[in-house]
Amino acid sequence: MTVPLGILLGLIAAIFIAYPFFRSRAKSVSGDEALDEELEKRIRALRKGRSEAAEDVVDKVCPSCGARCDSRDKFCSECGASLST
Amino acid sequence: MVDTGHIALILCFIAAVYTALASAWGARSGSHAFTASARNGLLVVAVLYTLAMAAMLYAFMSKDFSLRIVTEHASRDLPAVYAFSALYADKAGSVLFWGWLLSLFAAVLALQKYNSYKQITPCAISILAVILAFFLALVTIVVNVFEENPYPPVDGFGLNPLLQNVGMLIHPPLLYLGFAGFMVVFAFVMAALIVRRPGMEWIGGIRRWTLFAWCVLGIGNLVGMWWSYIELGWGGYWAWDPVENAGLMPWLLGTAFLHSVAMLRKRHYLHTWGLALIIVTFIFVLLSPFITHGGIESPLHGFYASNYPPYILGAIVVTLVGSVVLLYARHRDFGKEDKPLSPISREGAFLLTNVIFLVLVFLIITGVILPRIVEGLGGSEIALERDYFDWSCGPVMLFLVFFMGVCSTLRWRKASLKSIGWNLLYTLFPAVIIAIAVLISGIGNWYALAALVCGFPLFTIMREWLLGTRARRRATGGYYAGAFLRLIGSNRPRYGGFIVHIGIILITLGVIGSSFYGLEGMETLDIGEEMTVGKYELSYDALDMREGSSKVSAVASLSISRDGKLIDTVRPEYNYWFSWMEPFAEVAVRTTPAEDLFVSLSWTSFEPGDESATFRVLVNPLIVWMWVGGGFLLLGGLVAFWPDRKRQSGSEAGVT
Amino acid sequence: MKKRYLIGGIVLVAAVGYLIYMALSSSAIYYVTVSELLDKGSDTYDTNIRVTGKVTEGSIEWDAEKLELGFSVVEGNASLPVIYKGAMPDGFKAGADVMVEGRYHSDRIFRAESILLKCPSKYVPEE
Repeated sequence: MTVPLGILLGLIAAIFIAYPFFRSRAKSVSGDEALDEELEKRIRALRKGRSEAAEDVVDKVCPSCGARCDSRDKFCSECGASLST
Repeated sequence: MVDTGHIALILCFIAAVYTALASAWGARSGSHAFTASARNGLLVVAVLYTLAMAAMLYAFMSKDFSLRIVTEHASRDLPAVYAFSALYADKAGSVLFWGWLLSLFAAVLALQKYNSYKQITPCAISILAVILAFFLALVTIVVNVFEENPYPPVDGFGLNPLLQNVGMLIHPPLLYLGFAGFMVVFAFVMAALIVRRPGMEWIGGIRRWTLFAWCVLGIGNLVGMWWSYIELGWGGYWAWDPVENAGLMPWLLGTAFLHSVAMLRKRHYLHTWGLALIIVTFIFVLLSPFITHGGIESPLHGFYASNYPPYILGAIVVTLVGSVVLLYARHRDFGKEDKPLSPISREGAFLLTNVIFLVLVFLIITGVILPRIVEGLGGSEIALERDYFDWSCGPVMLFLVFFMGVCSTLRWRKASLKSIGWNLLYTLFPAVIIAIAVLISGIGNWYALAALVCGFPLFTIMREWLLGTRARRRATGGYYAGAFLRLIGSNRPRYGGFIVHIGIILITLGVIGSSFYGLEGMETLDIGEEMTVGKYELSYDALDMREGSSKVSAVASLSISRDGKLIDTVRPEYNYWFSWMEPFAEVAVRTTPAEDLFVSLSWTSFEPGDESATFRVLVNPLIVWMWVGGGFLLLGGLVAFWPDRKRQSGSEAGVT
Repeated sequence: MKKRYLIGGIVLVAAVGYLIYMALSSSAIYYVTVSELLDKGSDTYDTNIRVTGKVTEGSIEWDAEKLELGFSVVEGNASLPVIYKGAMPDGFKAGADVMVEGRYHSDRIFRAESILLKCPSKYVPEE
């Protein structure tokens, strides 16, 4: 009783694990991977630009509590008051 | 059912090994098929593991004495609720349980992050699968948890009565949840390091996991303290036992890591430091089973050692060497860091906090292993008393609490001396005034210190809240209460942290009150006699004998009066357990905000006609605030943890 | 900047060292077995010691009026009489492994200030 059950469990698990190999063969033609790569490249470029932009942060003074905050912030990091107004 | 569990566990081990290899290959080669297959492998591990756990629990519930583990920890009369307690009363059982939680977490991570962190996640899955395979090897190859008895006995040995308590039902799972959570964080961070994505990215993805692990571990430690207070009958909650320290140290390190995460999110500063902290945290998480399984002798727990310590030690060494080498190999990738403009800034304060946490852990671990080192060097066997820990860690902890007030006062980058001056005037100054008042009034010198140490950070938080609420209300109008809630909602990691700080302040109060101002009295009384402890008079009214199937209970009734007025009755018990052939006291605690009255029936003869009984009575001031503080800890953790719909998409993708 | 960190580091190390030193000098206590204690004899009088051993069968005497617990701790062939003022701790019984902490006096009786029980995580039958 237990041996067949074990084989059954193992089989189900193996099929589930191996499934992506069969699926990907059909899918690789669609060019998804190329698209993914392209997207990743763009994300990287955007990130790079952002971190460069972050270098020249100008301080901004919170109108309600007087704390110094980043100009990037929308709200004061100290008191939570809105910085946009 | 038992066989199914055993087979599932073995298959689970195979699947974990496969997942580790496939995921590593997938991450390296960039093969989508391999990473997808590995992800499925991890899900299979979680499902099969759950199946094995279900089989194990079923065996405990149905009292299947053909299993060794059930025979040793359960008995026919054990309530079904304590099936869990019985499972982790066993050394291998506790590893099984811990591994199960880790498998569930790993599956959640695989599903949650699979699409958002394309390169990091496969690598993290691989690391987690290695850890899981290690755990599974411990419970299948090193020790077989499903080992069967050649001749099933009629009844088992039963579960230690001390473990039959709600506290013990939830204390170990909480610790293991926290440990497993930190393991996930570790895997994710190491993965980010391996695939050379050490920037800000992983922070957004892992902050909430860290918070969860930290919060659960903290609550777990507190529940353990509560259990020790209620159940062990000695009236204290912390003995600096190696096993207790094993749970405390990862939490302290996790706290330091959480603070450095806050720093990394706000400023590109000290990457290596943050990474090193999570590595150290992971190592101390592994150290915990090393200690509890008898790697380091502990006076109170872990009397029956298991054969795991060499394996765990091996894992610790491998982790240490591997991650240090990795960190060194990658340390140039971090790029330019923001320099703090001045040491008098929040970065500076956070860094100091971090260092102090490390010092604290260093002091504790010194106390744990120093006696072993001295012994190993051929010196005489020494033990360190609680005094060592009290007098070395106590001052450091008090300083940390006090320093919480400084941290939130300082601004990022550079704090202006003028604003510090104004802040101190509103926060430190009142705390000093109150401390002096307490000192003069003669309530107690330690209470004066408590007022200073706790008052300063408390006033700081209140001031920040007041200013913030006022600013919010000015901007948006409405009620103050609404403005306050909106304020908390606007920056929940920060204000959740404040709530946690209040919890810590309350716990500090409880510790100071109960450590320095406790009273104790012990007397043997006959029916009708009285004893006095502090302001309380206790009169012994009656003794009831109750016979149950597993124990005989002697229940004493005492009426408590204060200033001649009857205020309450308490009923401490003294239980004689048949299966253990020994008595255990069940204490009665009368809790008020000012102090606990702790009454323990520590001896009675159980002989008919002799109703004299020995009572041990403690007055523990302020102790209830420790448990209230625990509530704040949980609340603050939840506030910071709760998913933020507006910002989540952004921060999860690492754009914040 | 470097110098400042260096000074900070030195101050920190000094402070930690001082804390450990202070705490150690006040609380290190010696850990001996029953036979070692009996061998050393008068050297160990009036110093703070921890002794481990098993509670001897039939040696437990509890004086409820004086709140005194008397028993003897045995290790191998050596046996040590112990007197402890206070309640019997939970799980205290003959054959239990205990660690007593206190002072050994010239009257050859160990006056314990605390009794620690090794709390068993499982029940192991006598073999």
